Amino acid sequence: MPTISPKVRKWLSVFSMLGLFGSLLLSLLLTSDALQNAARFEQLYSLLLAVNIIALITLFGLIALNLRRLWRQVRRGLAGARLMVRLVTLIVILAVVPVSVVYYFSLEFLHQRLGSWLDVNVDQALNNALELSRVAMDARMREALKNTESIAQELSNVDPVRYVSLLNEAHNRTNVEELTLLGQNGQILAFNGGDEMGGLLPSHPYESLLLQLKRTNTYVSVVPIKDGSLHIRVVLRFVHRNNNFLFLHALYPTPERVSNLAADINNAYEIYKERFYLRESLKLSFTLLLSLILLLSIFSAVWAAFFVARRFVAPLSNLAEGTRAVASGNYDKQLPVSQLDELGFLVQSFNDMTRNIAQARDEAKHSQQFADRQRTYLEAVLSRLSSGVISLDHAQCLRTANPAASQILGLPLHESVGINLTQLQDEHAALQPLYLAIHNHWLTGSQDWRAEVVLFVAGGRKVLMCRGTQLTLDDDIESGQVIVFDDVTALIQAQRDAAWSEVARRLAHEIKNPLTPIQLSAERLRQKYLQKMPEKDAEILDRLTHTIIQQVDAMKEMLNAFSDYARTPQMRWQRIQLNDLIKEVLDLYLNEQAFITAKFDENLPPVEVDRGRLRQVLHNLVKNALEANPQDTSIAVTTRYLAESNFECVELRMQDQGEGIPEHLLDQIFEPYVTTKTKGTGLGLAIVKKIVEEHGGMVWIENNPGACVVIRLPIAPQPAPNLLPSPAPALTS
Amino acid sequence: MVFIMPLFINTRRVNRGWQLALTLVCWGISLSLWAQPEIHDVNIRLAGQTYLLDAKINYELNPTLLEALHSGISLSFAVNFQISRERELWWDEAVSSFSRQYQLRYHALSRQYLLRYANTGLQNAFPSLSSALSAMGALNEIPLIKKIAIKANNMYRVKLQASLDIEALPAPLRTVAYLSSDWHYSSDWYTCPLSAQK
Repeated sequence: MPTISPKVRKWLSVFSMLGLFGSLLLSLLLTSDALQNAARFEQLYSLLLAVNIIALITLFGLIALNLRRLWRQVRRGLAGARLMVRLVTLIVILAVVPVSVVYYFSLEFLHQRLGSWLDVNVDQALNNALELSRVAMDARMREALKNTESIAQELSNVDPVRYVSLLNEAHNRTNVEELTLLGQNGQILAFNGGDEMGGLLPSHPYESLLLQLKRTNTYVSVVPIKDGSLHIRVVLRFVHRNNNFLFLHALYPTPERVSNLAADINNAYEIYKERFYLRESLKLSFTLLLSLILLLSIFSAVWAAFFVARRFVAPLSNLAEGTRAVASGNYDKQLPVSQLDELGFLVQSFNDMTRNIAQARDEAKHSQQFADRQRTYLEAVLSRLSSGVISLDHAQCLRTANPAASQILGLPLHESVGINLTQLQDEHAALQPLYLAIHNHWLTGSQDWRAEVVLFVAGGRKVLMCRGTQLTLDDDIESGQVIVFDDVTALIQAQRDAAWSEVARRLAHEIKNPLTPIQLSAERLRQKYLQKMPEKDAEILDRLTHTIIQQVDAMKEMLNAFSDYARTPQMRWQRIQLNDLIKEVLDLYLNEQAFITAKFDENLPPVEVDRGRLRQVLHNLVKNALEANPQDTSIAVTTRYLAESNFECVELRMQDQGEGIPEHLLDQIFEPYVTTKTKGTGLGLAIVKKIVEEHGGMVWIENNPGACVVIRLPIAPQPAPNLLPSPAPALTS
Repeated sequence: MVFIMPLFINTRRVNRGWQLALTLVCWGISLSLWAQPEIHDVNIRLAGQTYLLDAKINYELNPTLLEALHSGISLSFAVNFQISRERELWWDEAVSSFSRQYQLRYHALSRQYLLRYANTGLQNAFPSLSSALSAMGALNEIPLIKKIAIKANNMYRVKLQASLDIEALPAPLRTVAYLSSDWHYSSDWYTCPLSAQK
């Protein structure tokens, strides 16, 4: 099925409507003509009227449909609907007002004029003229009656066989046109009539007339014949000599001039009477016709208003729709350009605009995608880095943090994006060293800085190597800092282990080897010469060799201790209760002259440690505490569980009653060979620190005023319940 | 008193109902208040090869029609004939239909009523309206149908109706005539059976 293009459809609609209006107008013209000119369209009048009314009703229906459509559009808030309402209203008002005025005055004119046309004077004049005609006819009628009576007189005295001849004679003698003799019952007895009557057979005076004549005997009247001429009819009843009643019917022509004049007067009178009679109907009909014309005008105006308004509003509503589409993000909207006027130009500009916007949007999308790809790539790189990277904005708020940073700091940093560093530090006290490092460099405004920071976080003690860089970008808002930090705990530990192992190996090689020959030599010297020497010399030799041997032993012992320190044995991890281990160690010192008070936190979570090595730590610490003040050997041991937001740990404090550590040694007290005591290897605390650090813990000394050693150990990770069914009993045995 | 009151109200209601019914009936009567043409004495007979119809129609003009007639309006009357064959299970078959038309007008000069037979063109003048109307109402020997068109064993129906032809009135009057009951001057359809005669 071929589809009709909108343009063709539009013109089809226009032409069909124009055709409808045209034919309606023509039909109204015909109706009006029929009303005035009887001859041409009178037969069609009713039909035309009906057709007009039906057509107008159809037109009204069409307009009602249009109105309903418009009303719906307005209710749905369709673009341009309100404008169309206003346009239609305006055009309709513009059209209806003048038409209505014309209608009103036409009606007024019609009613007044029609009344005045029919004048009483004319009426009277015509009546008089008619009367005059009758008077003129009366003389002829009397003459005709007289003539007929004489014929009847003759007829009454003749035999019936002579009727016809007598009638012929009378016909020839007088100007009578037709003579008919009828019997008592109306049967024709004789007839004489000219052919000039034109198809008029013997005029039959009707039964009622004959009945009437039974009472009056004579009847005279003017009779109009079919062609309009006037005749005089006379009917007589007379008595024949044989006592029969007979009827004589005679028709007389009137002179042509009189007949014509009288007929004209009659016609004029009748036409006048008819018009007078019809004036109300005529007014009604004209009113009806005028109303139909009014309705046609109004309806055509309304329809034209719809047509024009729709045509005018269509590009505007298209534009409105287009702008809505653009507003909702559809930039591919292109509007049809139908006209080449200003509106068409507007639509064209709109199309150009949307095209440009669409292009710009596509470009923006491409660059956005490119930037996204770049960012994703960078993020991927950052997330794969083992170094933690965080960036701060100009207000020290966290902007970005890579997964490694969260892992190193033991914090879900990505949840803290946008939070100020100070606030972050308040929430997570463990971050304080890092905060201080960053903040200090921030305050000094250094472009690049490096710092080593030690934190005690969820994973235990961590040494971070931080590098900060000031970001200076064009935008002040965008500037800030990037801090990259690496967890170098393991590295430092490994370096230190390697260094001490090397030292121990060299000591063993360089020092321990000559000691045995020295000791052996001293013992041989003593064995060989002690008995041989005099007592006084022997005593000296004995003392000296003894000293050598003793010192070599001490030296060996020291070397062993040192190699113990340097050695990194395989750790044997066990889950234990720290309280149990401490009790176990402290029990060994009960028989000594020690006064130990212990305060254990009963809710201590288990820790995962190497039992033997931690025991060594405890022994070292107890020994140190006992040696701190020989006069007062009371020791206070406390354990407690510390839980902060980002880490949980177990804290052990051991307080002695000594003099404490000198302030200048506090930083170095855990390094090998730093000691406040006159005797001792100087490795006790170094070993303590080493072992604690091997356990991921931290150790420091506070002067309180005696020395208080503080050890913090990370708690054991939560065991998966189905992997470790019953760990505790095995550990405490 | 207790019983009388409702009764009183009921009576009033009944009265009102009667009044309404009466008004409606009167209104209905007023629609056809004036006499319509009456057809009677219809007789059909076979004369030679043709069936002929005789009938009488009583015309009695109402004041509206009389006024129009005396105002020079020519009134057209038509007597319509329809002949149909009866069928059992179907509508009747129309065999033939025709009409007789008359024009009645008043001649002011002669004070005569002129009756013109439109079918033949004949015209007669009558001194009185009643004589003109009775002449118009006398249907004598109207040829209905040829003998051969009426088949034996079939029943036929002849229907006739007399009415005023509004369409023949002057155009301005037609609108009024269609809307006014005074102008609807028409008899009922008179039906008489017709079967083949020998």
